[in-house]
Amino acid sequence: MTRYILSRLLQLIPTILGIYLLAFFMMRVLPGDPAQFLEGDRGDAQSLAETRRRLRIDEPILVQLWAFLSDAARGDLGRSFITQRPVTEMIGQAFVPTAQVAGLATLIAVMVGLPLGAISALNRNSFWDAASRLLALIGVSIPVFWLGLQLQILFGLQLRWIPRISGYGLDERIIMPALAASLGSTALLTRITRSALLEVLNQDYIRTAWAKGLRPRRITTRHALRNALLPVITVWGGSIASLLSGTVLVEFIFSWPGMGRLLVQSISTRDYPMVQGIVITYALIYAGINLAVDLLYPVIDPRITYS
Amino acid sequence: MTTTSNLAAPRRQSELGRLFRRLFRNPTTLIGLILVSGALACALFAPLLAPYDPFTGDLKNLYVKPPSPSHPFGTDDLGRDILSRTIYGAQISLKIAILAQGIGTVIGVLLGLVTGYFGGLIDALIMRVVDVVMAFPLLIIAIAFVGILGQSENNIILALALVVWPSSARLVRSQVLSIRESEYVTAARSLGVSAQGIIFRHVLPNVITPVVVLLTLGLGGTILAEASLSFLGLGSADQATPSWGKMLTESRAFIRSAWWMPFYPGLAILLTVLGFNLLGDGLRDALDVRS
Amino acid sequence: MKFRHLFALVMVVALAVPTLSGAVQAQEAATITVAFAESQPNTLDIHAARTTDENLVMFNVCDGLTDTDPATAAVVPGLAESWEVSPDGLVYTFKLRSGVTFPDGSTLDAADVKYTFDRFANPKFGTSYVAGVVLRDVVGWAQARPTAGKDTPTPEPATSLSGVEVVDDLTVKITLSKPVTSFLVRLTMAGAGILAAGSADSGDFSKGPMCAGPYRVEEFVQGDRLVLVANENYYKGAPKVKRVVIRVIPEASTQVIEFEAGNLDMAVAPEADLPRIRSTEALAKQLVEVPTLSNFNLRINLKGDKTNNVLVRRALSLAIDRKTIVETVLQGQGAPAYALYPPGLSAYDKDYNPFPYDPEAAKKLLAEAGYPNGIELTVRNDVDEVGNRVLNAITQSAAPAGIKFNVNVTEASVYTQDRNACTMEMGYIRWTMDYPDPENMVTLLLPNAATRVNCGYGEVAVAKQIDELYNKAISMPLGAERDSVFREIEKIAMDEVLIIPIFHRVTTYLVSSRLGGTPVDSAANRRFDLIDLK
Repeated sequence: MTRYILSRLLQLIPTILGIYLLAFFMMRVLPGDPAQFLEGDRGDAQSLAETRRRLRIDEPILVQLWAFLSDAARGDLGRSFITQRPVTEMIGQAFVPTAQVAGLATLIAVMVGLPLGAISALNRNSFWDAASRLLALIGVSIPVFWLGLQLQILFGLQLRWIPRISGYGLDERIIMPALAASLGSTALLTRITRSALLEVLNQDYIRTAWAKGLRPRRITTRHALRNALLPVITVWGGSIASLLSGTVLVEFIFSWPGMGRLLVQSISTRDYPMVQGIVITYALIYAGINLAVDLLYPVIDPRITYS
Repeated sequence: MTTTSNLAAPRRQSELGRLFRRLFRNPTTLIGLILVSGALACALFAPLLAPYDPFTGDLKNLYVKPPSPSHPFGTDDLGRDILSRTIYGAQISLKIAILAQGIGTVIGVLLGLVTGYFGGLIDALIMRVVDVVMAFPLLIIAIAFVGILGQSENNIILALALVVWPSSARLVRSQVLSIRESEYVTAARSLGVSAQGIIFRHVLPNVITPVVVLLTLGLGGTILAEASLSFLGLGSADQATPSWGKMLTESRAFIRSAWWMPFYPGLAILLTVLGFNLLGDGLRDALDVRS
Repeated sequence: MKFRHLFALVMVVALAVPTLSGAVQAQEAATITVAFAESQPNTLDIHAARTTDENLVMFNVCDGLTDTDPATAAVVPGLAESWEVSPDGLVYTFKLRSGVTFPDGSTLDAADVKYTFDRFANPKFGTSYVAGVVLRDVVGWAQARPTAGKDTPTPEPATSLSGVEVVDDLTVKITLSKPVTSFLVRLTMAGAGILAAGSADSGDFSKGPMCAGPYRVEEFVQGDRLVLVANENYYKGAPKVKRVVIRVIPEASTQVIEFEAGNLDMAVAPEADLPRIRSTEALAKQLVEVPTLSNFNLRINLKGDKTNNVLVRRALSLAIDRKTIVETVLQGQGAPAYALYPPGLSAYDKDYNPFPYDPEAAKKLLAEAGYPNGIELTVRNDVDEVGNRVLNAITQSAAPAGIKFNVNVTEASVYTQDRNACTMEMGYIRWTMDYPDPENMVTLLLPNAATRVNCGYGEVAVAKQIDELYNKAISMPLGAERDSVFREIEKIAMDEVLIIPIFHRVTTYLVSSRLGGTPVDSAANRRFDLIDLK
């Protein structure tokens, strides 16, 4: 097992490097020049040249790549083209709010999705089953920006339960963004829990346990849930990861200064260092989560081994 | 010889028959089927169903009018009939979603089967690629693809397919990992069945059900992903053709003053996704009992 | 998970969230809360500032030599209490006010002015295009921003702008290389504010620039808010509003919601929401309309196969129903633009309308031009909601004239690049004036930027004529005669349809009634020292 962990950690390095290079070249292949974007309509040839020199994008690509990699090795991810602030600083500032919202959203998704999915599976084809499935579906199909605005209007304006409607703060202001962001994950978790649990409940060994006379609850928790957890965790890991970047619309609507917004803005302004830095950050997080999920497999299902 | 073949044929027929009967016995599945058929009908027969031309409108007189007998879904900010646009929108939205989800899932399933079953170096390699792709948020992949190759419908389909395949690959792989060591697979292996045979005849059927769930759920996500892309300005560059996603995005500013503008495309998406999901659930339930 | 445990978990989480009652601090009496119009400032370095949000900060933090009168938009004394202009129009001698202090304690003197303009002219620091707009006519600009010659490398830039001289403590002499009369107007721009000498050497602008304006930056929390605090020693008297919290709220609908909830004292009112706002009495009476000196137009590739024909251009311009577009898409938040200059400029001629909506005439012109069966034209734009609605509306109004008007929308950086290289037939331009002078509008016609060079603006037959008239007008004293020369330029441009004007913008704000007096001056700048709280 330890060998597996070590080998996965080692495999991380080429993954990260691959992502690095991909981000670097991808940004430079994209049409749209950061210098021209900064100058806009009013730049003449001279100021354009000056800007390109300042941003160091007039240097040959390999020189830029080497500079980028050698700086990155020292922990320096460069400075944003747009704000001139260090990339690491900007990412650090944006990461915390995103993690907070994503964390709360994940918590909500787990607390609502798992039990809802379980109820659904155990009471198959009943009213509760249909209701929870419908709710989950609506959760996924509702456009986030529409929902966000409706939440603001309902809780902020009409009911006045949430006096400070938008902006950043670890207080009432995190509730609505987290709620809006949790919808997709909640729906997904509900569905996957239900289907996985149903899968398992129909297996022979469950029927055998029934026949043996074990109390229903023990059957569920001991045997079924454990085995159902496998696909659940797989999908859950993916959903956390996608939450981190999927919060863009929520961040816009609720003025939440997170990484999703930063990423979108950096891409559209062709802020090369920022995009590279953010992508690498995401890569590290994703790889970490995937590794954690993979390591959980054998814990849940001892039949799975890594050899 | 004759007896065996006589026995084989009727058994297969009644199996399929049983499947269909199980499928339609469930009321929710029927609803799903109706919804999906409705959406497909809109897509296929739009010119026959739509009362007005979705592309032209009367800006002067019909600017953002609420629903009325002549325009049951109201009109939009260019005086166009929203009912007609919603019907036509099915064409683009469904085409993009089904193709993207389909292509992506097929790739993902194949890769998941291979890596899950064979493990080792292939597993490591492909999973690293999955890591890399999943590490890039949907945004970046789509932007990169669409940005470099141009903002066309086909590029959007490919970009979305690229986003879809890792999740099915991972899911299939996790299923395969558990099934790989189970009794019937071990038995099949000891009987000398080829790897290909095992994968496709024993592993795949057991893996299909969560994949089907993922696929149907993913369809809604893909339709909304297309909406996100137009939100960021990466939708199809051609402004004229209506898609539900684009209609939603363009009515963003009107949410408070013209509720009907985002409501109907949103409802269309909701009903279509609901339909696919109910159908998928029904399929899963029907297939389940058999195994 | 056992349901018991689940319940316990929920209770813990619920208790962890602080109580909501009374969470909002009552608005302090002398604090107002507003929001940035677009997103947020990217920099607080005045010499790099160029966006609307950055200018908002700079206008309120930094004063320049001259100022604009809030009511009339005329040039009035600022930090310079008086000035003399030499008869040849080349030498400006400014007498600075005495006793003006900076927040760091130092007093305003000529050295501050010299320091500021030296830094602004330095290409390393003065990275905003505003540097060129303000200082390009000052003697020494060419040496401060040298270009490489044909075979010679770029010479070392001069570290000082020779045209700016310190005469004595309170007197500054600025010499121009050309007698342009708009110099004083350009000194009112946000980027031309005066810094305290030496204050920018550290490069640390986290607390904004060290200026002598009505406010200074107390803190800037990226992505969240920027807080301005009153300068009690402001030479015009300490502002009534002591604290201005400028929040970052990129979503316009959220700004409106926050305004309705009482959390914002000022919010932008998007056109799409105006019908609802206007029909809500409480909100309608808080609407403030601000005409913005601007011209939203179509730049044309004058070298394109179809668009190089003036008949085609005129046909398109005649096929645009500007009135309907302003009434519907813009909900009245604009004025149809039939020519160059917007209402508010003295050169504006309200009776000059060369492009009434006439699809029939357009059709005839197209037939004359060789397109009897209609023509297909494509316009480019970036992700700009209102702009794309306007363009789509043009598609509709141009159809009866036989013009198939395609709208091609791409990302901003792609559009900018293609526009600079002019690989397009037409491009949508949102031109908001930098300063209130017609010469800033004529810039739209001059081949002084890569985009207009590549689109052929320097190569049309009338280019030479326009250039001559322009050079003549900019040296004339401000007044009716100068305006009439600018109108001549306008007529030539419209006869040749060098650009297709569409509309002039009107910005609408929701302003809380507790702000006595509108905080928006006639140049559409929000100035918080104008507010007198009720």
